[in-house]
Amino acid sequence: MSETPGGLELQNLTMNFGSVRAIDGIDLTLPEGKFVCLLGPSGCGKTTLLRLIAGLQNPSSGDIIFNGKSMTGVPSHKRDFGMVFQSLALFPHLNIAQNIAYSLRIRGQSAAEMKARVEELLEMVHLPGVGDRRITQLSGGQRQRVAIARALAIHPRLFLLDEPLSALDAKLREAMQVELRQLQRSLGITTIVVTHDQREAMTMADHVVIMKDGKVQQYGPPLEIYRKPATAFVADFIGASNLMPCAVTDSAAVELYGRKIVTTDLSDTLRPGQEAMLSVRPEDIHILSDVERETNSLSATVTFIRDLGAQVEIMLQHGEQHLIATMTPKDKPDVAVGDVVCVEIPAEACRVFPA
Amino acid sequence: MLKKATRRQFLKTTTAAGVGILAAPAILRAAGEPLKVGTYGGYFQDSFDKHIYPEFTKATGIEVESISEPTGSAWLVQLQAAARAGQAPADVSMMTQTAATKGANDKLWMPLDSSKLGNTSALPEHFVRKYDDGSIYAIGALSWYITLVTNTEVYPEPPTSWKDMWDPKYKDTLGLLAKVDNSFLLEVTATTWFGGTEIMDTEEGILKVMDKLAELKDNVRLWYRDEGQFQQALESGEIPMGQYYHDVTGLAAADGQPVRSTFPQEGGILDSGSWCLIKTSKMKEQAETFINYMSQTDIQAKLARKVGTAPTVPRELTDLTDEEFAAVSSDIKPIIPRYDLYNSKGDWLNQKWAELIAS
Amino acid sequence: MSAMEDSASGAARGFSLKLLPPVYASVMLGLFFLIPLGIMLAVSFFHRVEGAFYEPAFELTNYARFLDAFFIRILGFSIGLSIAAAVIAVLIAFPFTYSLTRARRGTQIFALVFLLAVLSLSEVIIGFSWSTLLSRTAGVSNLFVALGLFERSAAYYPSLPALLLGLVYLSFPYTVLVLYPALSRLDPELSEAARMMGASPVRTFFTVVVPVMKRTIISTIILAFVFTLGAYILPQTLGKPPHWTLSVHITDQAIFEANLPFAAAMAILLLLVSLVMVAITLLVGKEDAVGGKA
Repeated sequence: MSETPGGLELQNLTMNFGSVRAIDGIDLTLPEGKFVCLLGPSGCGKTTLLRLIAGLQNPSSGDIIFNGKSMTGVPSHKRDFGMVFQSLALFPHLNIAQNIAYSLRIRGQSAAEMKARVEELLEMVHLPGVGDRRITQLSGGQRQRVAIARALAIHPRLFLLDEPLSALDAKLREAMQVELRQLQRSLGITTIVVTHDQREAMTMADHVVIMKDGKVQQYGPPLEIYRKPATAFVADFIGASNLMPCAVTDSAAVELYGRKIVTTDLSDTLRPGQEAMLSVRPEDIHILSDVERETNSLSATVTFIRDLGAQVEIMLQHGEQHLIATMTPKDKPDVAVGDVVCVEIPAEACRVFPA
Repeated sequence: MLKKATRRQFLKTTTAAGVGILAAPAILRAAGEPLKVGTYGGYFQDSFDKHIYPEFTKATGIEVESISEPTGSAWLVQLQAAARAGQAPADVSMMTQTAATKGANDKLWMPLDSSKLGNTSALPEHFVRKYDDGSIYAIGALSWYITLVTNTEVYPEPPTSWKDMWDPKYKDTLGLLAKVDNSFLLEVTATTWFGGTEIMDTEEGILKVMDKLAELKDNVRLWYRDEGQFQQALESGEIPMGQYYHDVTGLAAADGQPVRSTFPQEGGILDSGSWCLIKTSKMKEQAETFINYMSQTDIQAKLARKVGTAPTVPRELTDLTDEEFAAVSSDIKPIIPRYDLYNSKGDWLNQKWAELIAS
Repeated sequence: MSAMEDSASGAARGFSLKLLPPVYASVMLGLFFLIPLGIMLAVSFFHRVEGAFYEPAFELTNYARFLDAFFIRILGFSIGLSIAAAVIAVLIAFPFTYSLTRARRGTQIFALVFLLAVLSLSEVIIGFSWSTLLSRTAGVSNLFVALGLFERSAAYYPSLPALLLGLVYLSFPYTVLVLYPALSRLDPELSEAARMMGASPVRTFFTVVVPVMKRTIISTIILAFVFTLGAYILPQTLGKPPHWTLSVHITDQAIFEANLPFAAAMAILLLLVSLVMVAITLLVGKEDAVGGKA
């Protein structure tokens, strides 16, 4: 990607814990000033990757280049990064102002400077005037803001957050996602957030890194990843997908349960006769009440209709294969449970991955 | 080993015996049970177990159970507590003179029948202790000397006088007993510097003696309660000089240790132990038989040969050769402890002594 | 009829079962703590019969005897010595335990088992070992001579530093085992947060780990203080007579002078003084916490 000076570059980064390889040769370049989410299921290595970037752990091999300089041998306390921990790690023996001023005190700022900066930061996180309270006197959301303010106190060159919102309830979390994103945008600081919540990632990130088993599965803007998942894993992990086993027939079609599905997505690596996986987003499936088409359709039985008001989900079954189709209420077809319908799979909505 | 030939191990035994008082259940004694005899644990007890008790049992048919007792007043305190509870951790115990007197003041000892103690007629009068009503409560068991001991490697020439302990050239080299009533250093000081222990008749006199004694404090490396600690340090040369038991020192020297015991020209300290029978004992007859047996002149000679103690009976009644006698005693007039003072003003002496050495 | 009896006995059983733990606790407390303490308190008022034993009475002479410059000095020295030993032990044990909790599991288990083994050593063994190590003839100074550091070997005991060393050694495993669970529970992210904010490992230790563990540190010092206050063999083996603590003098009175009333009175006073000290420390700690909240 871009070679901007504030960027972060990971070179063949590897981390072993005993015989377990937590990070497996990651090469990645993250541009400056962007909001990046490390996303993946638990155990995928995303937290380890963040800790390597933070310097809290040393990689087994490989290098981390920040602003064109190798971070190897630079201890975490000399990297000038800001970090928000999963437990928040606010110091119980200090009050809120002292917590926020901790990094400023280490840098030898005067009392007046610290006081001004603390007030500025508390304003920024919408908590003015709470400086002399104890940590225990704050709510979960307020502590979250204090942790963010504390990490940003020194104008860090890189802002790291490890599952920062996981302790909050759903409503507060959604609000904080927006707030965090707005804050990042106003500060223009390069930010890396670890999360396992794809909705969170979609809300906040400029770029998303999808990880699995210590490797990067896909890297790119969230919508691009959503629309063009690189692997079946990504397709399933980001948003819902109807995954169906198929076989490649030629350079532009696959065979699905005996039916021909034309697709615009077949990559050169897939050869005719090869087993593959067909992925279609639920919102891309059309349900037609008339007879089957020649191509790009499948007959299925309606098994359940979930009408959520804002969105309708129709569950379908073709043999052993389950399918989901979603649509807005005004597009809802006139079908009932038990009806046999024709499911249309548009050629441009198909993604085909090696099995 | 930490303790080998010491005869009075107190650190180990006091703690164990203290628990014993609480735990020991009252056991009803049946006829034919052994006579429990207490002696100082360690070398003393081992020697008695080996050389004395088996032959006593052979001669009288009375079995002996050997009990290990600590030194000082610790055993007395335990016997007093046991007697109050109607128990007898040992029937016959070897007690120091001070402890025997303290026990007598508390009527802890059972009066003994003089008609059963024919052999004691050979003992000097001070070895037969009596209550005010004339009944006997303690019979001298054996005597021992506390002398000036040195490490032969550190000091090839032995010191000759107790006065050497005051000599500044022995700075930080002395090991002395820590208690007023087991070190008898007041008597040593009085005899060495004031011509005899008579000066101790008055408190002023005692304080004078103490002031003189205080002058040697710079020479003292260790004030010991535990004999093992000093003996080990003496043998290694760590603490090359001090006061110690003549018998054990001789034994250690015979074992090849570089130590020697010297009778200073002012005399060695002659201390002794006495047999006492606790009032709660149900073995009076057997105890009297035992005490009478132990008072025989040939048994006293045997103790001198095997245990290294001085006989309680006059030397001429024993068959000890000159050499054998010299090994356990000396012709120099001994320093006799002022037991009377420890009885009449023990607390005052203890307090002044503690202030003397701890300040 | 029988059903009624059953339910009645069932209720009674439920009642007794519920009461069992507190009853058991108070019986044990009474049996092993209050009764012996009560006996000691009673004996401390008894009349000492000089040259013999004691007789039941109620008099304050034993306490009056203690109010004397000699014993007050010993009490002061004993408390000072124990505080010094406790503070030094915790000063060494705290960083040690902190790094231990961050070591590998195997290392942790090995160290804890080793410390338990040291904890099982009696005062006698510890005193003897250190007196040998500090001796002129067989001690470490011979090693210094061999290394050419000194001309001649020297004895480092008996002395106050030797005694302090012995007491610190005695209480060190104890303090580590008290600190270990608390430090194990300390959230490692607290230290990491400090590191990310620019604090060096040393600065992190002093500005985060120590203040967060302040209460644990204070209570460990109190425990070590009380623990070393009871030592009575080390002062005799490693210290000179002026360093003999009140516990030594209590033992002397009880074992050598057969003066149990005075020994009991001294023990009660020592107990009271240490209780007062503990109370003061706790009060100060509490005020501190409350004051900090304002």
